[in-house]
Amino acid sequence: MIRIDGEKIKALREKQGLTQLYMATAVGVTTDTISRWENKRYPTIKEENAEKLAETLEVDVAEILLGEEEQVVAETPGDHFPNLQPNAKRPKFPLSLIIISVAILLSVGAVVSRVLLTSTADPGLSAERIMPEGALPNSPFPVIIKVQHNGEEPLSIILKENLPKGSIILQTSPSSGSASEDNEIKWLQKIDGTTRFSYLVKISGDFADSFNFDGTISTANKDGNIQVTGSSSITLGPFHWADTNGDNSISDQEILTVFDYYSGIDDFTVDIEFIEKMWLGSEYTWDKKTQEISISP
Amino acid sequence: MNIRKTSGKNFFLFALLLLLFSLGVPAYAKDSAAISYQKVSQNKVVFAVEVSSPAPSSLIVQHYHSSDNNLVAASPRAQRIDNGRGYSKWLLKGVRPGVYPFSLTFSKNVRPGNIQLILRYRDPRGGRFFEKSVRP
Repeated sequence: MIRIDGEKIKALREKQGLTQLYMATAVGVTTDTISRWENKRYPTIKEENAEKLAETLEVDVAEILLGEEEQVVAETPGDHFPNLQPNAKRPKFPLSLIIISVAILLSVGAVVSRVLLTSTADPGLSAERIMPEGALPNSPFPVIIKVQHNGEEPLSIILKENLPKGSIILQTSPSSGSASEDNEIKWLQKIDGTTRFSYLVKISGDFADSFNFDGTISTANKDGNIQVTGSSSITLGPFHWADTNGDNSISDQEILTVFDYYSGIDDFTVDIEFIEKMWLGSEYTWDKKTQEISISP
Repeated sequence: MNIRKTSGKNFFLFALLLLLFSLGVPAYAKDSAAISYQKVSQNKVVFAVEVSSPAPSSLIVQHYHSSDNNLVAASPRAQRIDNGRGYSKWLLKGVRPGVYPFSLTFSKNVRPGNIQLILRYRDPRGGRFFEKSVRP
């Protein structure tokens, strides 16, 4: 996503005598979208749309980008950012009322943070599964289980992961994990702090088929098992697991997410290198017949 | 009189705010990465990415230039150069705190108004996606 200068786009369009309808047709969006871009209601747009806009206006992309230094924070690639208008009139509130409100909010925040800090100091064990929401049929995808142990002494655990029927386990890390034929992986390990357990798996099935994952941790000290939290299901579809928005391309945000979550795991580097190639290409397509991905330059 | 009373009340509330901040809220964290142009002269452009601790695991740098001016050399080597669309791109992996200098050479002289840098990364503290853009 990049920030555009709506006023400049409008000025360039009007200078060339182009209508919003013409622009919308050329870029492949609606006239409403063009209007929103020009009026800064959508100040950030996809790179490919910026390129099409610039091409239509016969200018370089750099000319329609915002000039001054900006800092943008987005939770998801599709987020739009608020249009800040410093001169806009705002409702007036008494200063003391604002300060009291902020003080109350901060008091609550302070209490919550205290509680959280106290609880993290308490020895505890937790596990979170990180996995993609979707994957191609019969194509490998990674699953990571982050186990957190806050105790002072290392702790021996048994991590048991139950995979859905039809799963084929390709790799496990640490390699001491044993994978059985009935789709169960078991690790027996002494942990201290945060430990990552991971595996590569593929599942055959049809588009829209969903599969559930289930895992538990047991220790000698505790009665019963601790459930692995986090993501627990995956749905098969025509998109690579790293393509989270399903647009047949790997965006900057998607490749950064892949590196954040899945890099640094032994044996997984080959797949990440392939995702990097997909990121460098303009788009990828998956052939259902050959079950292979081809990347367009 | 009223003004003095109000000021005193506000001062008390402000002090209360500061106290609450010091009790429960961690200090405002510095940005993990920043980007800036160092030099734009004739057909050369030099810029740098400064990474603080904790560092993001990877960064993307994108440089926009005029499409009638070709990028002919880049150090470090760009992962992608698209002179037709007027941009080049780098993916920095295994990033550590420090300064990463970049040097670009174009086929013609560069006009500062025609270039722009974009830095993208995920915040190592919470995973939020950051995008920063800068012009010379």
